[in-house]
Amino acid sequence: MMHVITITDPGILSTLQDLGRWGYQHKGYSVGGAMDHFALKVANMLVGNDFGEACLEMTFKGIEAIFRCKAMIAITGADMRPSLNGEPLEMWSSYVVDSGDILKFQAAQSGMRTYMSIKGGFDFKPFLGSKSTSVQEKLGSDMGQALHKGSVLPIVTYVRTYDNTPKRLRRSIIPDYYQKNYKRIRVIGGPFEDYFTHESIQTFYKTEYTVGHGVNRVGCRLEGQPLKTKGEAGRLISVGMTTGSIQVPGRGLPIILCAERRTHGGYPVIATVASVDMPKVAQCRPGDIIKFVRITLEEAHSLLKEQENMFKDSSLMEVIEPEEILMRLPDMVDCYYHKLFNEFF
Amino acid sequence: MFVCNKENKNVFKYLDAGDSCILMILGNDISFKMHKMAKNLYYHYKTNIVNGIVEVVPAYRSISVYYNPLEISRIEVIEWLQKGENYAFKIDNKNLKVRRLYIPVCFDEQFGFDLIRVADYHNISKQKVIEILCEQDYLNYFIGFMPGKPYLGGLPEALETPRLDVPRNSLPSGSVVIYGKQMAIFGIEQPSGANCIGRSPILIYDTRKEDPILLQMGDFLRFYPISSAEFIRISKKVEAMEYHVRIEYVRCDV
Repeated sequence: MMHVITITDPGILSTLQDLGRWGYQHKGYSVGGAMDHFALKVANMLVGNDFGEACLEMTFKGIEAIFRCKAMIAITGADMRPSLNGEPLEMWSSYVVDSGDILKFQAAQSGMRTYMSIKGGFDFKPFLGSKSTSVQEKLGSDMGQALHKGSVLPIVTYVRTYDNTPKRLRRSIIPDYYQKNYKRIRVIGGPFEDYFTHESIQTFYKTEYTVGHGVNRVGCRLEGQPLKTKGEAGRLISVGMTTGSIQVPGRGLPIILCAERRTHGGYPVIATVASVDMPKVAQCRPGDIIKFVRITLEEAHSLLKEQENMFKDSSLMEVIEPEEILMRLPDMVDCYYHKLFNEFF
Repeated sequence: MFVCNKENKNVFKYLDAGDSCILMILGNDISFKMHKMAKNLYYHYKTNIVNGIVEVVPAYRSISVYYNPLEISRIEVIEWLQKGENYAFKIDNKNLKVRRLYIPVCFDEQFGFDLIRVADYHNISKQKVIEILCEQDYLNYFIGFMPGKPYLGGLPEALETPRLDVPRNSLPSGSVVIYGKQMAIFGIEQPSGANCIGRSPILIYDTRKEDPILLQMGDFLRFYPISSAEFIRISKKVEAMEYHVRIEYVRCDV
């Protein structure tokens, strides 16, 4: 039996992403990695992987694929109405799938990016410590190509734990991409706030910005009130950028730098998105309204700690009861009990 | 071994770039002096890295320090950086040598689409442009933006040329370009509004190699003209991974 998934429809832009290729920006490599770290980490937790294992990141419209082996998967992020052999699957949950099963995603109902993890991970050799695909830098699986029709994804068969109990994320933690205040993006001022006029700083925090059509893995372009720099401060001597840097180029319209940002840049950065809110940016789609909210660095750090503690909390995930599976997915029950049987005897 | 320049003490600024990065600003110009400070500090911090520091990235006159706030506090990062500040003024061993790489460039029209534009702009011959460009070294201040892309300094004023009004959708890798006061060589095909004056058959970014990146911070580049026949010959060798760029080790007078 081949331990692979065959892609029959690649969707719009589907790539493997983990937590990124850190440590090589001095050579010009973009950090890359998943746009939504929260969804990636949860997807991995639900199947018992390490937080940072590479998952399939799908953009706006997902894949259609056939499993050639038994596997355990989890689906998180934007709701692309996933189905298995025609039966709808729940988001933010894990499932055991069988050889021959057909997994199909549609267009995202809300949000932008969906993650699919697989127990054990995808079997690709990391380059510079990461399995992340960079289409631009030609790195990752298949020489940096996005998935295409006929792509074959091998799965690691060695797993540390044999716990194949399907789980789901506690409902109260599931982010709601429809929610109105969801697009309140918390930021820390600077590092080049003093390049901007007082009025522009006020405008930045008081007005709303609309996500433009130029949204990709590199950056999120915004439309709204243009911002002005003081005098000739429009350009600075190129410095290192970071994920979440809000650059303001000459036209005055901000751009939020995302996962596959370039390493350096020469436009002043008015503010930087708090790490905990980058997943919100990742799930923005053109037309969404954003409001920036200033928080202190200390607040940003305590938010990060809170999130970290949440990930450690054992009640974060609920076991999906077998009876429930019976109701939800009749054809999977055999497989599930088969696993249980194997574990007990 | 280093000598501390007391006068320069405490001139560095530390800016928070979000919750996981600190930007250490050394000054506000692009100069050999800044470059030396950035390079010294970069290597010092890189070799003395502590737990919680994700990575250290140099630029013209700054160092970006990425950290994990769950493992190290901001104050601890700044204290660690301050402790190393004096290394900025380290005086090099007199025998220290740096690399000078000889980069072949074909300036034929088929590659150097804008050579004539640059020549006309300065009212000199194409030959003169090539001569001026090739008679000196260019310092690679640092690598960034794209994998392996050098930030080159030292373009003679006589060659400074504004960008194109309409950017090109794509310039191939190997393109040698001038834009304003800056110049560069591309490692990846990319859209660009820069003046393309020639193309090198060598690859500064070759994903087939174990380390795909050819250049380093602090290298000097010297361009020399080649014919289109030579371009093809070298290209074939590069394709077969049999070409080695000529590298000389020279005294660093920077």
